[in-house]
Formats: sequence, C-alpha cells, structure tokens
Amino acid sequence: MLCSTTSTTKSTTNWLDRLRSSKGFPPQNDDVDLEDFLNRNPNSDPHSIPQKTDQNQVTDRPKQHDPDENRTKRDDWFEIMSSALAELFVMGGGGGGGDSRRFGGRETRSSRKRRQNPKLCAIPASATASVDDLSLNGGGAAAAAALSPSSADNSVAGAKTKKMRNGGGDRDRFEAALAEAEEDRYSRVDVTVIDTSAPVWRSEKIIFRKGSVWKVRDKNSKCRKISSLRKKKRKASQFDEEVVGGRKEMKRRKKKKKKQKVYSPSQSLPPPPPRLCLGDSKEVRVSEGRIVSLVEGFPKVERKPSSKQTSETPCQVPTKRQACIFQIAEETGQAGLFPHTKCSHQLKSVDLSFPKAVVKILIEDITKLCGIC
Amino acid sequence: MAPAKKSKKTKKKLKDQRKCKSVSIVSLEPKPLESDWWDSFWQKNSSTCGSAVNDQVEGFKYFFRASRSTFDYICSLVREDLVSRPPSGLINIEGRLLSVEKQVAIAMRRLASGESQVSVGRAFGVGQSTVSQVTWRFIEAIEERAKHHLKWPNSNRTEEIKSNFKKTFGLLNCCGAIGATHILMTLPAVETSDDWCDQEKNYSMFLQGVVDDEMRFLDIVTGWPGGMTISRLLKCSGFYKLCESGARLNGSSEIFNGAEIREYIVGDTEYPRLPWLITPYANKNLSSAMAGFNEMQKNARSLAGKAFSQLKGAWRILHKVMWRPDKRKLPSIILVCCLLHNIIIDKGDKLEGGVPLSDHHDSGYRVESCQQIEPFGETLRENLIRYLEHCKNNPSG
Repeated sequence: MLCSTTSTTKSTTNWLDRLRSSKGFPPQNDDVDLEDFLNRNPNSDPHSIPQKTDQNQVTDRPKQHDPDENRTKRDDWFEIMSSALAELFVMGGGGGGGDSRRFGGRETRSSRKRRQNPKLCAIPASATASVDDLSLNGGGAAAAAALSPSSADNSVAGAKTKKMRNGGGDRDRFEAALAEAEEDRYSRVDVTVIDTSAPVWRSEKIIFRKGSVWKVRDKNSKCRKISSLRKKKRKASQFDEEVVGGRKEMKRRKKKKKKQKVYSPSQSLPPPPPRLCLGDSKEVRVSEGRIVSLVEGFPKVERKPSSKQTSETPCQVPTKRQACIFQIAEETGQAGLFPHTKCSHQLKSVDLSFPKAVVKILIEDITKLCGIC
Repeated sequence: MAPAKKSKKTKKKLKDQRKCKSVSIVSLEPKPLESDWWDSFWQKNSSTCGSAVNDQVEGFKYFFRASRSTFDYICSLVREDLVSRPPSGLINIEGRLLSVEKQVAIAMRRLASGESQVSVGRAFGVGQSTVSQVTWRFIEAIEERAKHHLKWPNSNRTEEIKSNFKKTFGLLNCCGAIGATHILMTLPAVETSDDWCDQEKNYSMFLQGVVDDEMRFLDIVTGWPGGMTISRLLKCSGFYKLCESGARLNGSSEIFNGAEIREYIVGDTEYPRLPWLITPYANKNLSSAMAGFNEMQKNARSLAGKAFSQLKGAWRILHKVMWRPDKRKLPSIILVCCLLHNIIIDKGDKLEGGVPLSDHHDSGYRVESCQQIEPFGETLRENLIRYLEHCKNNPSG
C-alpha cells in the first residue's frame, strides 16, 4: 500500500497501452477515459457518469454511433478497466467478478482472502501427495492443520482427527483430490515420522484410516532446522535473490550496469532484467509477504512433476515464470488453473509485465483455448 | 516530550551497557566456575541418590547416565548451538548466564529422570520455562549433531556383528535383532483418536529399532501411531523398503551343504517371516531341532527387548506416560534418547545395575502373531535349523 503515486501512474499508462494493443484497440481511445472510471459511482448505472464528461463524449463522438452498441462496448471496457484498476489501486481485490466494481472498499480487501468463484480441479487420487503440496502452497487444509494454534506447543498437532469436512475455497483442490476418502469417512491423522533409513529422517505423513484399512500419504518433506529463524532468513534472502529479485540482486545488477558504463561506454546497454523483477516496491513487498509459502511449498510442487514432465514435455515453463504465474493465479482466484502450467507452449505467451488482472484474463483465455489439459 | 524521550534513550543505553557488561563478565568467567553447577547440584541433591551411590563419580552417572568424559563429549557436540543462541532466557535465579555444561546437565536430567520441569528446575535453581527451553534446544542440537551415532553399519562392522552373533547365539550370518515398543501418552479429550489408541487401549506412539550385538540402535523409526499393527509398522518403515529392494542386508551369503544362508535379522512372531527377517516357530508341538532353534533365536532377538529396557530405564521420560505431548516433537525426543543411548555405548560407559527396567519394556502388551509367511523366509529358517543341527553333531567343526 506504500506504492509511490508516480510509479503507479507511469505503469498505468504503459499497461493501458499494452492492454489496448493486446485487445486490438488503438492506444488512445476516446471512448474510455481513465477519469471516468475514477470518478464514477460504482453502485450507480454505468451511464450515470458525471454530466460534464458525458456531454463531452456526446459532443466529441460522431453522431452515427448506435447508442446500444456503444453501451455494450462501454460495459465490456468498464469490466476490464475496473478489474484492472481494482487490481492496481486496491492491490489485488479486483479478481473476483462480483466485487470488481467496488474500488477500495472493505469488501474488496476481504475478497482477496476468499475466492469468489472457486473452481474444482479434478486430480487423480494417486497424485495426492502433490495435491498436498499444492494445498500447502496455497494455504490449504494441510497447512492450516500444521499451522493452527492447536498444533502449537504442548498440544496435539498431529493428533487432529478430521472427518474431512473442511470448508473454504482455498481447500477445494485438496478436498477434490480426497473426495473418495471424504465419502467413505476416513479418519485423518497428521503424523511426524522419524525414520533413520530414509534419506531425510524427518517427514510428515497423513494417515487415512477406516477400520483396518490404513492409507498413508506423504505430506511434504519439510526439513526442520536447528536455528530455524536464522535459516529462514537466509532462505528468504536467497529467495529474494533468485525469484523476486531482491535488493542484493538489484544492487548487483546496478553495479554491473555501472561497470559496463565505466569500462565500455560504447557498448549497447545490457538486456533488461527479467520481467518478473518489476522493481516496484509494492510488488516486492507483496512477494516478500508470501515468501514463506512460496519457499516452503513451491519447490516441492516443482520437483515432483518435473521428473515426469521432462519426459513428457520437452519445453518447460521456467521455474520463476511458473512461480509468478501460480502466485498470480492464486491471488486472482485462478489457482484451479495451475495444472495448465503444463501447457508450457500456451503459457509462454503470457506477458508477465501486465497487471495481475490482465494476466488473469490471459490465463482464462488459455483455459478456453487449451484442449490438452 | 523531547527530554523525556532522551531520558528513555539514556535509560536504554544504560541497560544495554549493563547487559554488555554482564555478558563480558560471563564470557571471561574462569574455568573453575564452570563446574560450579555440579558442586551446588551435588550439595542440593546428593541425598536423593540413595545408599547405592558412594561418591560423586557414581553420583554423576546416576543423575546423567553418562560418565564425566562422555558428558564432556556431549557438551562438545552441542556447544556451538547452545553457546551461539541468544542467552536472553537462559539465566538462573541468581541472574547469571547458564554455561553449556549446565544447559546440557539440565536437559539430560530432564530426559533421564522424566520428572516435571518444575522439579528439575528446582534441582538446578532455574525456572520451569528455562528447563523447557534448554531441553528443547538440546534436543534440536543433538538431533542434528549426533546423527553419526545412529547409522547402518558398514561392511566391516557388519562382519563383526555377524561374527559376534554366531559366537554368542550360534546364528550364522545374523546382522541384528528387530523389535518395537510403545511410548505411552495421554491425549486431550477433544483430540482423542482411535489411531493412537493401541491394542491395550492406551494412547501410544511406536518406536521400532534394529539393534546390533551390543544393543546399539542401528536403525529406528518412530512417530507412527500405536493403533497400527507391528507388521504394518514394519512395512511403513524405510528399513523394510530398503531390504525389499535389496539395498540392505545384501552382503555376502554363507553356503552350507549347498544351502544358502543370506544376511538376515531376527524378530518376534509379531513380525512377518520374510527372506531377511526370521521369526520363531509359533506352534506348540516342535521337534527338538525346532525347539533348539527357537531358543537360540529368542536369545538373539532378546537383544532388542533389552535395548528397549535399557533405553526406557535410562531415559525415563520415555517410560512415563507423557501428558499431552506435542506429537510433532515427541519423535525428536525419542530419537535423541536413542542417540544418547548409542553415545553411551560408543563411549564405553556401562549403565548402573538398577538403571534398566526390571520388567518388560512393554509390560502389559501381549505379543500378537503375524500370519504372513514368505516361502523364502521359511526356506532360510529350515537351512538355519540344518546348520544348527550340523553344529550340534559336530561341535569341533
């Protein structure tokens, strides 16, 4: 929320132009004015915009325009722009279709936590382990169990016996994967196992039990550290460097740039940093807030399918790109589309420099077009 | 407002200076002061030892299960972790910082006695929270630093183990004994679960271990709920997977009269009979050869039971019914006790006579026989009987 106004406005013009061009509209369109959207009362009819602007538009516009056609066009634009603006100014609140018109309201903030249109992702039961990883990454049921206050000290963390009746949009994938267990009312116990024959001694398992039938699933192999705080910090900084493009990385790049400027002024400028590293303070801060979940959850998600994917799909979506797409998908309530990251050829075309709301639209387009997943 | 702020700052500075001073004083503490904790501890607690303990050397072993040299070795293992931590909470009642030795002593006393944190704290002159904090730090440190004391033996050591089993029990090519025990606990009424409820209606966590001829743990698995059967516990273990895949117990086989005797371990009837796990005959009408084999097998597998008795006797925290433990932490406590058990054996310490449990480590639990029998396991057992018969008939050979 501390993003500077200047940077926002700058980026606004950029993405607006890009959005317009990507949707096939000319960059300077008189039909849609940013001021209109900012001054418009969200609850009122889209056409009850301040009279001044309306008049201007009426006078400026050629008279042969059909008002109905114009209205639908303006509605479409309003949808796109409002979601994008909500994304920019309220930091990700515009993802939900229903709330996209409420700028800066409380509803928008709370809607960020809840997915408006949760989508079920049918994943085979055999892939439960990876589903767990996904759910952990997105704050799923397993993560919730692990991090719940009752699982803290002197409690019975692992002993949580659940009848698989978890609610909430973020747990959908987990629930879908375990639908069978839910139906049969398997009891669930999270256990921490230490096995000195395993490559990593400590592992988290989930036991599903119904009578004498026991099913054991891997949860995620979180290695516990001695100085967890210190190591977490180190990890976070590493993550900053690797994925988010932390300060050190930025400094290093700046230094490199300086060096190049000093020693080879005639040389052309180095290629721009990856688009993931937006350099926007807001973006970095938001990402930092999610570092733990990404660091702990994502590599596991990445690792498991990677061995299979290498044989199946020769061209992969790069890790950083996947992380970003997944994060955007999570924030915009499109996490159910994550399996589509396998369609690397589709996702390669997604321009990550667009605002999240736009990326969301593009991901949706891929979903509609993709016939593979 | 400004002057008030200044005064606060100056106060803070003064406090910091005081802290720095205290830290520097502690760091420059002369070495004899490090053993202060033992003198005061002994003075305070020597009366609780009983008549069996005559001097301070025996007393030290009584309280901490280890000789002074082993204790120093353990301190050296964890020194870095315990010293480098911020010492904010680790001060005793007198306000002095705790030395690494005292921290290790507190933690080991807590594990060894199984007494409450309050009573352990009283014995050392520290608070309950300090005991809790120190114990957990020690557990984390040992878990990380003493891993090398619990590992599957290399080929040379395996040959030694096999030779000792043959010499002591007459079993050819035996690499160890396997067993399991329950660590009892209570659960809050809300969280009670059938999964943790074992056959004797106790809430428990399993500890399975494979031990060598010296009762050293070569492999353990813990954390699985007591509601499982032993055979399921085995199948959930990494040891089973390694053995089944041929990555473990895959050393040289012995050929006797054309029959192959491969590497194996011995276990009770609660375990399945597998090509690498030999269980005794369970029927009543046995031939003399079978009865002889059962006797030898029982002696060999009793090593596992003795190891658990020793473990639970030395580290009484495992023998008492734990009150609502955190089940994410409990496996670490069990592992650390096993590591300490191995360290004591590796360092050549011998436990005092009264330390191991006098009764069975899992008293009250009946042995349930497993019906699973694999043909190769049966063949190996028959070969072993033939070998034993041969040895009986030709004692010189």
